[in-house]
Amino acid sequence: MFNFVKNRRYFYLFSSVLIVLSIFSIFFWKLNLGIDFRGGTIIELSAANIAESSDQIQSTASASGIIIDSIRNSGNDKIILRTQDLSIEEHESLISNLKNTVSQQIIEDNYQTVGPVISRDLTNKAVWSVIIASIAIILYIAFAFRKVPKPMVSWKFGVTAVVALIHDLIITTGFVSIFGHFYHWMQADSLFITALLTIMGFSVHDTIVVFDRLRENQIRHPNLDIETLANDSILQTISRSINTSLTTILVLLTLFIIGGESISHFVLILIVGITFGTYSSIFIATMLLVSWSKTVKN
Amino acid sequence: MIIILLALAIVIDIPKGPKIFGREIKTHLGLDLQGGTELIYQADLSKSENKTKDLSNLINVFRQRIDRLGVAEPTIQQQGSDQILIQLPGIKDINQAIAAIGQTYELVFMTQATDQSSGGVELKDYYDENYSYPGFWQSSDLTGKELIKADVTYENQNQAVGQSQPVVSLSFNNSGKEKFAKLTQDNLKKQIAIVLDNRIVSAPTVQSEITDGKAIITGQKDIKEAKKLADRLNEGMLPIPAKVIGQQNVGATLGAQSVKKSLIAGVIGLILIALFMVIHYKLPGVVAVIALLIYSLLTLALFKIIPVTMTLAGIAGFILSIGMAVDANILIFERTREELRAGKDMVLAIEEGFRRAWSSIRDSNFSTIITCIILFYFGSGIIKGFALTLAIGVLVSMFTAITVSRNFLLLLSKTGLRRYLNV
Repeated sequence: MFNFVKNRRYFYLFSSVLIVLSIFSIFFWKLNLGIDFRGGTIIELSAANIAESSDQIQSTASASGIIIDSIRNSGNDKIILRTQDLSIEEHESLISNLKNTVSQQIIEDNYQTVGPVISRDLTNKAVWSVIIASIAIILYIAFAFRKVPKPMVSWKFGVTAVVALIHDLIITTGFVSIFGHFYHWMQADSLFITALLTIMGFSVHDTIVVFDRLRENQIRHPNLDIETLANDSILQTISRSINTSLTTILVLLTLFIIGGESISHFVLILIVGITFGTYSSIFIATMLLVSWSKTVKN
Repeated sequence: MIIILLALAIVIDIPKGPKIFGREIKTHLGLDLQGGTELIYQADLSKSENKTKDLSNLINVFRQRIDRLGVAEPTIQQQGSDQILIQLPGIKDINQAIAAIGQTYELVFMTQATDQSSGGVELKDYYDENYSYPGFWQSSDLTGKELIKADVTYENQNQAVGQSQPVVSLSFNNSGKEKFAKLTQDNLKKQIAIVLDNRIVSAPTVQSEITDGKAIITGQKDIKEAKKLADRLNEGMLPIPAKVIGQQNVGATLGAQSVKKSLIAGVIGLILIALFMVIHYKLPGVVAVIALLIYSLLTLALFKIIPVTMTLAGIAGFILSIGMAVDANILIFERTREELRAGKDMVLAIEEGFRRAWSSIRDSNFSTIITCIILFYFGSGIIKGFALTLAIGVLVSMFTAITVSRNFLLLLSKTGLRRYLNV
């Protein structure tokens, strides 16, 4: 059988490259922030063949003094505009101008505008939820693994699980940054935060399954060294990890294909995050635990 | 027990929800699925002395105005320390809604007029359209704009008995103080009508000249009636300034499309999982699919009972919890397979497989639930909905894993089908 643990430096290398790329992208390309984080307006309009009139819509808007950040169509009969944060009057005049110049048949399917105050609140809340959830997870794992035999220490399980989780969050955020740089619909909005938090849950979920196996193996074979034990645990749980992720990703893929535009970015982020969550729980979390225990021994 | 629960769940799940305790059980759809308007107001509390009270007054005023719009099931709630979230399902015209909520209904004080020739008009009662107040009324120069506060207080009316009675106290600003002094002077022992929206809310008789801008209206039967009067008076003024900082309007067709798309995606996703499980795990896979079906029915029934407002994020949470429910089954099967390989007898292998899988099912699901609880407390709007559906889903999945999957497997292992159980 392949010894994953012996070859762990390749996984470390692979992850490091991804993390460095992610961080670079987050610093240079930033995140393509959704309106709930930076304030702004989204308008979805539908009318027959409205996609052909996008130039006209753009010029009508700028005639009303409104700058359109982006305009994209979804099919032939629907168009989605992003602008700055509009006042009630600006919104009203934009719609009536568009009806006059483009088509009287325009229907406003969705209108959302967010002021800067809300976006600030949301950012704070999001950051705090991630921090508090991480601490809670470390504490819970430390508690759940309190009976782990020596020389292992239970809080190390918690910390490595959270390191693996941060690994997943950085790579997912990096993906959103890189992808969002090229495709405008990939936005970091509140659904992005929801996705990150779900990935956190899944990542820890997966990691715990592997750790649980390691804990059991240690109790059963106290004389085996940690490297062998860890590798056995990985081999014993790998088919479960892959099967579970596969079923979840199957559901997500159907959601991605037919679930509708408004959540497609959310679903794609989840697919990427859950894939890396599974990868890290197998190849990163356990390996880190092994490396950490060995350094301490030396 | 499983059968009873399942029967209950099916009864609740059928589209025409039964009435239980006089309340219809039905799925509550969020604005993004139902269509409607959402507004977020920020109150300016910088000049407020009692922030909590002023904000709840403002919420009351909003509620009264929204009631006039005739919206079914509006949501009006405080968000953070100074924001008010308003959700109006079914309201299409966002600007009309803002106008109706932000509009100040003119509150005027009227005096008695001798007849119609001097500009007097007949007025009806605010609450009873069929009752006209006797006599004619004419406007004074005092309006609700000069009113700064209307509150319910208690006054010791009958000192000897020591009874206290709820009254409504008013205070006016400086210009209102002067106007009110003149009004009470001119109309001593006469009635002054408080008129909102051209209807008389109350018509107290002036007992004495009031020069300090603070008046008291007595004669309210009870605290409820006094409160009602104070509310009407407050309606004539915005207790504190508030502005719209966020708006959202979702068209009903978009919402209906989203529901349809997510439902189709959910069903197809479930079928794919079912196929995967049956092909990969054979007979136990079938057990898992049955467990999943029961799981879905139970969860949806819980969503209706609690009730959970379904939003797009909520549906996503539910679909993800299906993934976790499958995971519990996969863990049990993989473990059972190992025990079988170790040469254990079928029943023992299932019991052992379950027992060993349980610690990882428990620990991993608890960490998800912890995340959900934190999200629920700190998150806003859609994040809350997502956390709630995911948490309910995870809890139910643990329950079905313990009861349904395990008992079905054990049951099968005692029948002739046991030789197909070899996972």
